[in-house]
Amino acid sequence: MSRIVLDEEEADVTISPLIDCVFLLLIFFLVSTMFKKENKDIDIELPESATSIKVLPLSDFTAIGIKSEGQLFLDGKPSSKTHIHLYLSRLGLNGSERTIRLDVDKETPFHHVVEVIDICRFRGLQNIRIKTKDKG
Amino acid sequence: MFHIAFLFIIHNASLFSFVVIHPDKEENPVKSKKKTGTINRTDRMKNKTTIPQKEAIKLQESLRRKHIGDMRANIAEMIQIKRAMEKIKLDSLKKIKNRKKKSYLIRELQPYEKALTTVLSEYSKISRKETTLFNKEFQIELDFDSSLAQQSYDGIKNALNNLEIFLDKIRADYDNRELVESFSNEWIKKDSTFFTPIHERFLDFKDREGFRKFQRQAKDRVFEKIADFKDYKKKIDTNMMQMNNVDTSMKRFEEAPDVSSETLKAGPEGLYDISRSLENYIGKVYTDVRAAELAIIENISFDEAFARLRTNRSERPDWGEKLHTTKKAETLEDIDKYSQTLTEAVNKTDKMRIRTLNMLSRITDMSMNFLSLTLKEGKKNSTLSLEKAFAIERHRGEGSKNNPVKSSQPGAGIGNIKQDSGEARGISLDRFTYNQDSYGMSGGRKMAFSLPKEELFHINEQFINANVLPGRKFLSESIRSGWIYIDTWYVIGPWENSGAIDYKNLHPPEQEIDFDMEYKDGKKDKDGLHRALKWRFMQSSSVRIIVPDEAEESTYYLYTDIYFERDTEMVTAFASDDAARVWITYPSGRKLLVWEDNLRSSWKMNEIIKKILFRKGYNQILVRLENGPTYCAFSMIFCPTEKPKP
Repeated sequence: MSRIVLDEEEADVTISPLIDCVFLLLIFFLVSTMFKKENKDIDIELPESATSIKVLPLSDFTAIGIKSEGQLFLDGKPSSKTHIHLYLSRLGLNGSERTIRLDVDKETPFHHVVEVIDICRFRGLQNIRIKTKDKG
Repeated sequence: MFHIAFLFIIHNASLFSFVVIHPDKEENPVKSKKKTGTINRTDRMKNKTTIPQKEAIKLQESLRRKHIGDMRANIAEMIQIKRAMEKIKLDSLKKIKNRKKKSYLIRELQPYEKALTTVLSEYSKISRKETTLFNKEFQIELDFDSSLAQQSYDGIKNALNNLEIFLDKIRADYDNRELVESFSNEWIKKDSTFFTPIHERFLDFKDREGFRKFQRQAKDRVFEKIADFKDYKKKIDTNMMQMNNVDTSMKRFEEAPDVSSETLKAGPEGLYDISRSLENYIGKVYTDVRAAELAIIENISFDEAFARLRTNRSERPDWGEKLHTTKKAETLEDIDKYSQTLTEAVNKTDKMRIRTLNMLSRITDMSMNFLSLTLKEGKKNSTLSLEKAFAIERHRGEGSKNNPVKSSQPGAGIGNIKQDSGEARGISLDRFTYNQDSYGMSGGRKMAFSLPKEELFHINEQFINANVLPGRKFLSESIRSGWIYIDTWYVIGPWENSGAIDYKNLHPPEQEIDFDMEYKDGKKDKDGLHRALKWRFMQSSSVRIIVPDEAEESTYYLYTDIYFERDTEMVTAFASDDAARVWITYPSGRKLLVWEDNLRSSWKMNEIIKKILFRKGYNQILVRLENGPTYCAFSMIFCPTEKPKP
């Protein structure tokens, strides 16, 4: 009776791939977090436009939102008229190149839009865009 | 020690409360009411108490005397207004009589003026090296120096200026035939308009003949008109028609109320009636003057114009009956009531005075402030009267070749009027002169920037309305020039003012500007509830800003800011209906009251003209607008005093 002697090696868990995975995940989250844009959008129904131009997402802009009842938002956060005045006044003093994006609900009375555009232009901010929904 | 101090304090406190609760018995309760402004319980109880008859009569008489004095002062001013209005009416009627001459002359001069303008414009093209001439049959090769045409151009320009002066003279005094005749003759003699340019380079000019041909054509065109004009005298005589409607309106003078010194000795009830009849009469004269103006403009008869105006002027009710009280005062309450009735009577006569002053202001195109001060000064100083003030205005309006000041507009306030004759002094502050050729406001052609300081200044309302632009930013590269109005405002109101102009009654906008605030103490609405007030954004398409939610007897605030690239001095014209206060807050935070109007005046673009220095940066403007009856409006226009430096 032959005896087979098995040379059994001790079972070992290789942690290198695990570390790799962890690092990959870490790098992924790091990178994705770094590139995540600040959400400046507000919950409104945008007006439709057939002639709107698709533009690349802006990196440096100020979003002013106006809801249908005239409530103002600055970069996605609720704001007030006095605050918008002060903010745009400071912005205008630092240079007029900054883009202002107007996110206006389609039900918003037009005089609210005129008012904000007037403030922007008076403060020297001429680069104003209006966000619309592509009809197509 | 402590006890002593404590007792001392208690003692003083009790003494103080005694004084408060038990005022001096000798003190006049009418006076004490005036001090506090309200009648407390103690006063009410006291007012019910009877007073000795002798004392009551004495009190009644002193009140009567005081209020009669105020009423007489108002009536005296209204009498002056009446005289001035009557004179204006006579002048207007005289104009109707001779208007045919005027319309004929103006009509005759129009093509002449047009021809000169055309020629001037074509010459201007030559100097600008444009190749298209009004006669397209030939083209001048403009390879010569543009200064060659300058002499002819300047000549025509002078001719046109002379013609405009002449036209103004005719408009002012079109009955003067000699003036017209001598002018047309002299004009031809003196005119060197169409001389060929004398310049050595012109000899080398290729199309010299072509240019001369052009000149000849221009000359013929203008001279043809002059020849027509020379025959004007014959044409006037054949065409002139006398208007026979003057007598009807003259009769209306018979309705003038009796304001002799005897009648003015009447009591408050009599004075109220005189004041009322004066107001009605001045109202009628005002309508007559308006009808005369309309008749001249529309070339219709006076009666027809009068009927067209459809004036249904409601007469003031005979409230004076209240003053006819024979009841003798028995209690202090009676005295108090009597005092209130008299005060009301004085206020009513004051309202009548303001109303008539407003009418005079509209007719004379002079601000109410100016007129009011003239009347007041006229009383003190016999050398200054309304008539003199009008004469001065007319004199300025005429203009002359030697005097570049064509006309002027009154400002307001107290200061000195700079006069050519040097005879009248003491009325106006912040008045400016401008050169007819430099600003072009009254001539209305071009805007330059050479406004001399501290001289008389005139703004032509029609010209400004046609040319004024909205704006709030003043930059060196701005292409805008001339008059600018502020079109963008934040407005809040109405607050109750009960018809009184009381700037002491402050509202939140005077403390801070917060666009997000909502104030719950607004004027009561129809349901008797206080309105909630919020700042509202508004843009006006015209100079005259009409506040939203317009209400009578209310206070409004308007706010805006304007930007200046550098410290800039601006000629600023404010106007309000009715009263207003204007503050400017500099970028440094310094707040200045730049204008205050205390009169219930209707809106007139040139109510006051001031020079105001604006600082570099954002200058905040806050306006407090006090509305009385009917409309509520405000305007602020400005023009730089000098050309912006590059």
